[in-house]
Amino acid sequence: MNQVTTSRLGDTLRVTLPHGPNAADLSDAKGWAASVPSHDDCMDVDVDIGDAELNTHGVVVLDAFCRELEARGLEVKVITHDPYQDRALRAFIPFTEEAKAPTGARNLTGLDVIHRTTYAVLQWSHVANRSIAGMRSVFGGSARRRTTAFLMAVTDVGLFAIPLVALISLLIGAVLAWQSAPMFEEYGQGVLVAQLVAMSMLREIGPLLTAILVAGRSGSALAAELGTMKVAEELDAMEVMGSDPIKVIVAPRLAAFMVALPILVTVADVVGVIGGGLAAVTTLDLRWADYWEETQKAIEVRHVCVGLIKSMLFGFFITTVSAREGLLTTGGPTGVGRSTTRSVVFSIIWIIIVDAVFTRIILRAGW
Amino acid sequence: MTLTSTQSPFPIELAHLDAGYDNVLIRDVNVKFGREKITCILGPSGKGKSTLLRHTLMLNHPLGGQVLVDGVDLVTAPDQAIRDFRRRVGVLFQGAALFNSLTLAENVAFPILERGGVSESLALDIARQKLSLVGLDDFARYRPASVSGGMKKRAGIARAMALDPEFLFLDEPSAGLDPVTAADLDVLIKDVRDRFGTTIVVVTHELASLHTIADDIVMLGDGQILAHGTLQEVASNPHPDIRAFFTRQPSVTTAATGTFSGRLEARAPKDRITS
Repeated sequence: MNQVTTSRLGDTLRVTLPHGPNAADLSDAKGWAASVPSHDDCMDVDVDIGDAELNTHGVVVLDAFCRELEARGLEVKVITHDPYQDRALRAFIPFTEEAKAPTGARNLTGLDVIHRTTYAVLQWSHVANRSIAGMRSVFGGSARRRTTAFLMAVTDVGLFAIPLVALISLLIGAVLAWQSAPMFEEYGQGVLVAQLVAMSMLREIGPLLTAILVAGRSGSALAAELGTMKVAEELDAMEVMGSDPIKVIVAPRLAAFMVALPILVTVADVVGVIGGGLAAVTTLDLRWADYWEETQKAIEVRHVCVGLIKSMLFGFFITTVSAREGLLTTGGPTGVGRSTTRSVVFSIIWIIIVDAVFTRIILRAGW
Repeated sequence: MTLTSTQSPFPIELAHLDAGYDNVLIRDVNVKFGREKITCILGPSGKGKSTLLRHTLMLNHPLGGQVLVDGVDLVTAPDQAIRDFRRRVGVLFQGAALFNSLTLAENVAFPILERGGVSESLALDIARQKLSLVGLDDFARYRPASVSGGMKKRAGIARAMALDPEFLFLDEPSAGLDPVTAADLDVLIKDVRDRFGTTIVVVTHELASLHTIADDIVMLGDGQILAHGTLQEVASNPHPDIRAFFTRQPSVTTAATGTFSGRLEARAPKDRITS
């Protein structure tokens, strides 16, 4: 029974709730209000809450119920029967409508999107510009501390990632061989698998895979570090002490990423080719010598260069995109999480855009 | 540092400053910070004390007005002027803002090394000297994460003083400290001013420390400056918000306004039986 009981006492309608408002929700309050009949000659309503207990939950529900009735033009009185009910109701501070109104949900117009995108690109180019400028100080004579930071970052981003990169490249090399083998065997040229593995590892898979891994492993760490420093006012402190956080923190990382990525890509290339070879020898009935001979035919300086230059570009974009996300962190620990996620997502998007553009340009140039 | 005739007695001046982030939080601020004086910025929480500090340091761009340092308006001046100003400034942030990856000594040595021209070991010696000034010489090798909040604050002050700055800005130096440490800190602040002739701006809402340190008081409230003057002048100001602040009274707005929108009607229990 979810309906109020009503009785008329002269000009006044007395309403009794079916149960205490403590056990009700706002939807119940609406339902109750809807079941109060309208009488043109009777605009006064007494709401009798019986001996129901009242906590804040109950008082808010009761207020909502009264508001519904008042919206119909009724004059509402709440009848209390013990001092505890009275006290609970007196402690209630009525909501203002503005406080209840939802805020902030503004529709994005096309212009807003253009504005935001342009602004983001400008911010990014600022970070990129300042960190490139700051690179000079990384290796400058007076700044031994920056050089230390750079070396530590190379170790962390590059050397410590070698086992991971090696494992993944080994498997991807093998998978490439397995996937492409049937195609070549159809023409009786199974050994060409070696060329495919070498070419694709050197030019594409090696740099791309390594970059994605570094974005997830080290780009995110950079964003999180900067974000944490930002929300703890450490970056402000640094700025007030006259040093530029981009120069102090981002520039050594930029240098480190651009050095570490080619190292990792070299590892990925070598191990990927070995992985393809292992797959070919163990499961595709090829001889190691033949595989190696074909591989050597495929390896050219330009392929190696394309991969290495690309990886440096990826390193540049991972650092600057992640740094921008970290530096713009707002909103405490949640904000740090958000920047970290965004840094990985945007780094990967940029890696692939840069990959596509670079590949077009390099192919046009005949490389 | 002695006052020469060419130096203005008010090196930092805020003129018609509108401070805030997206919206204006404090309007039309006109304040002069006296040289070698300790100015306390006072006011209830959330009324823009720290915001005013951030704007004075140009960490946030003012929404209007001027920040004048030795007569030069930093709002319109090139970035180099802001950097030059900051070179003369030491700041303690509200949460101390120490670098977590460095020890306390390395934190204090950071600004010294960033300015350059000294060896790392000399910088660390200077840092230890500053740490002992705030009573933390035994904790030089600790990282910020392993010392207490009060120690972090003190280390933050040591870092702010590392370069013997001309201006010292302290954002709530004694908030959250025990009364004895807070009193020690007040003595230290006064000492720094007396010994080094530092111009100090302290954001606070500790009434107790005002009596010890304040030469000048800027009282914020209601989106503007309510009063500006010496402790006696401000404390005797008749404005109700200032009176409430100094006599520690609850604000008028939150005192017992709950009425359940005037719908209440209490009746005796027997009434219910008859109805």
